[in-house]
Amino acid sequence: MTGPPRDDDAAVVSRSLERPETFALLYDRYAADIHRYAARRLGEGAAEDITADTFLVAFRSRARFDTGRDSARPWLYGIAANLIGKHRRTEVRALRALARTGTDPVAESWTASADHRVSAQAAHSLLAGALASLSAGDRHVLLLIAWADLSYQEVADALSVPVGTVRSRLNRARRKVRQTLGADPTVVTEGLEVAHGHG
Amino acid sequence: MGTDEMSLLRELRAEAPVPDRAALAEGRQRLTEAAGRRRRLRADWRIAAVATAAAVVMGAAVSGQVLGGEQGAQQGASPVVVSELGSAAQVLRDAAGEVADDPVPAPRAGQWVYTKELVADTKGGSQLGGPGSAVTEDVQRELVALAKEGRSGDEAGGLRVIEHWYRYADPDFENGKSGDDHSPRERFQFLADLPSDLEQVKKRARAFYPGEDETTAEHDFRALSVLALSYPADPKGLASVYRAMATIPGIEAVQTQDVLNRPAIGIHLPGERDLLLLNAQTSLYAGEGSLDSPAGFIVTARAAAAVVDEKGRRS
Repeated sequence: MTGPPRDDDAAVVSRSLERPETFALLYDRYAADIHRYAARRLGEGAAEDITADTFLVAFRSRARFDTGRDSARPWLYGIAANLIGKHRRTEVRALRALARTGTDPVAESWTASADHRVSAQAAHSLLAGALASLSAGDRHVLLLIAWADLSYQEVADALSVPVGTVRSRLNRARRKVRQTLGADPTVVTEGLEVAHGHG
Repeated sequence: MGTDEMSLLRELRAEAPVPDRAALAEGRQRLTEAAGRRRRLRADWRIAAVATAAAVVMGAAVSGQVLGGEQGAQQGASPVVVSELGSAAQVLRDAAGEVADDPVPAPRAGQWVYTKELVADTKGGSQLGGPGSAVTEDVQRELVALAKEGRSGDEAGGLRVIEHWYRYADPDFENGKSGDDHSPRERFQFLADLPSDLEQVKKRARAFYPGEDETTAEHDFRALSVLALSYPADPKGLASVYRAMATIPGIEAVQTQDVLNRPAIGIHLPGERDLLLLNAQTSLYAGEGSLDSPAGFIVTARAAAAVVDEKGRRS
């Protein structure tokens, strides 16, 4: 199998200052991940625009990329998170719909037919309600870790906040989610080991 | 291993498909146009994307094999011991006594805070084995070497080195625009100014790291935990943080090791699985762990920290 020369991302960004077309290598490396992440948050339709805009914003600001960092991945996710944040009301509305009806309008964006409506399990509905209730900052941290598999430090880099803030926000968000899940006895009977009675 | 909220969260919308070429084509075209060039890159970018996905899957498998599971424990490694110490109150008061007389650092504006951490991203805790599983001695040696000599991006034993340089007096984190963003200088000063009254310490910590929908105990532990990982830290302030943490009702401690096999004390709230790890010898922040596995949900081990004069220096 062949692929592009595996220069590290910082080298690609540096080269793109002289040869702009080089920047497309980063698209090839990360666009699919960014797209899928955005799709999970807002649906496939919005994901295409978010992905395209993420790389355009990155391209235009590439001179400010910290080339001391080998990977551009956190930087790109940070830009995507910022763009997703502009659709906050849409995202929250969809999460609330899932919480209320058990049907996920976001997941429907990738199902073949509306006849096969995506019915979530009860725990996912509860989870959606909890996600909807989080502040935008807490939701970004939680989902960058859970869905984008970024580390604390990478989330800190992505969102330009100290790593302590990431830890604090993650702790707060996880607790809130846990409490929401733990409040519903039906979730427990389905075998979830959620902690109850955190105060 | 049961399902926790993070596992459940990972399941939510997990069936979202990997986009096909058509879904990404327009974005790539827009980027190419923005770059002012229209010629195709020689490489087949679809292959590159598949290769990236394969690498991610392989990384997860290796991580699970090395960090957990029966196989690792059977290969002669020292088992990861987690023993209950019970109440953390005395442990934390002892830790406070240990650090209170440490030399007082004197960081200056213009300096940088360097940290090196080893991080394991665990994609699905169930792949990583449960309590008692361990890394092999060979992997242990690799991890120790990684902690000592590794540079950002280096990997061994399923762990990755992340180095970072923070501005000690970063103006972006001193503008008050976000309630819980604080520069190292603000945190140092906050610690140095803490009073001796432990209720006041907790009250100030809660205000420094505000929150909602938490019990007071949960809020106290979260805020004090974040302060405990401050670097550089005023030693008397850090001691006050530990003493205040000791007053949180029900707080518990376990004796364990971090991923570098360094003896550590794990502090946690009752019912919580995540551990704040303190180095058992220095009583300083050592990382984060979990009661559920040596790898836990995310393992972080602080391998080095220093205040340096220039970004890029490590000492």
